[in-house]
Amino acid sequence: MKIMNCPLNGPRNISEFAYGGDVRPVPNDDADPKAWADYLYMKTNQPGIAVEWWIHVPTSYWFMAERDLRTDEILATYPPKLPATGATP
Amino acid sequence: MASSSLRRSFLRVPLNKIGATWADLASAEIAALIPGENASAPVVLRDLSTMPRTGFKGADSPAWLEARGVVLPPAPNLATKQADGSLVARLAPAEFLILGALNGDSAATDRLDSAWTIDSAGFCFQLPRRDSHAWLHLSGDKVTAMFAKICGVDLRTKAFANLAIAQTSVARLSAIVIRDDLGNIPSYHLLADSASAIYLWESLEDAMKEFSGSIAGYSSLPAP
Repeated sequence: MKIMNCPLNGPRNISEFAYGGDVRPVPNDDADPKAWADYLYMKTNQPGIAVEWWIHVPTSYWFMAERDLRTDEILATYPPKLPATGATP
Repeated sequence: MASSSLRRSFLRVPLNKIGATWADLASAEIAALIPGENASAPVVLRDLSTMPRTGFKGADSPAWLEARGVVLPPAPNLATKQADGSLVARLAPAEFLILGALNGDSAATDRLDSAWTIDSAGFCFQLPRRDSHAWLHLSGDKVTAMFAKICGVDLRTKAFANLAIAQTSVARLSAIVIRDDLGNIPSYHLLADSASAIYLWESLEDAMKEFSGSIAGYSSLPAP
């Protein structure tokens, strides 16, 4: 089984994790509804390195992962912070 | 045995089916004896679900617990034995699970529960664990071989130190596994969603069959 490294718990089977979507800047509270709709419903979905939210389900621990969408290779995982590989969140 | 305690195990039905004798312990009923039990089997499964336990979570919880004399584990996923026999498990930097002493003494958890009030504890929040989680106890020489069938984490004694914690999936159920040896007998606490307790119990019964596992009562639990 594919293994993912949880920053809190260490290497675990990928079945213990759930995907939480792209890491993207949250619009301001007073932003245009179009900006909020874009944030909530539109996905980037382009090949390349993506910065994503993932959760380790047994501990409900949210963290960030950088994943190459062309190869499905997980490049890095870390507690919520700025990207490690220079990818744009 | 007749009992006056209101608190009953989530596993009362399967334990009654195998003829468990119930006894009062810590204001609850616990399966004390199981007909035909073999407490020295290669895998021994016990139900401790009615035993005292509690939890605390939040940014101020380490300081709040330390102020009450609790010795905290230095990092997440480690546990520390307290002088009173209770076990403090650090599940995250600011989340703690406290298992009462195995002799059923609830003094440690009662003391913390009664000291906590929402107005005085800041960002330290009580996290009751006695109803949310079933508490199973697994021990024996083959217990790690049995775990290998149902858990992806290497829990063998050479890879998983005493008082280490794995928060992982056991029989496809999110669970907390804490190694807490009884003398030189490899022993693990397994806590998982109480609503799925019967499923987990049956999965463990099935997994331990090939190792001649035995369900045992609380009375045969060796002294720590």
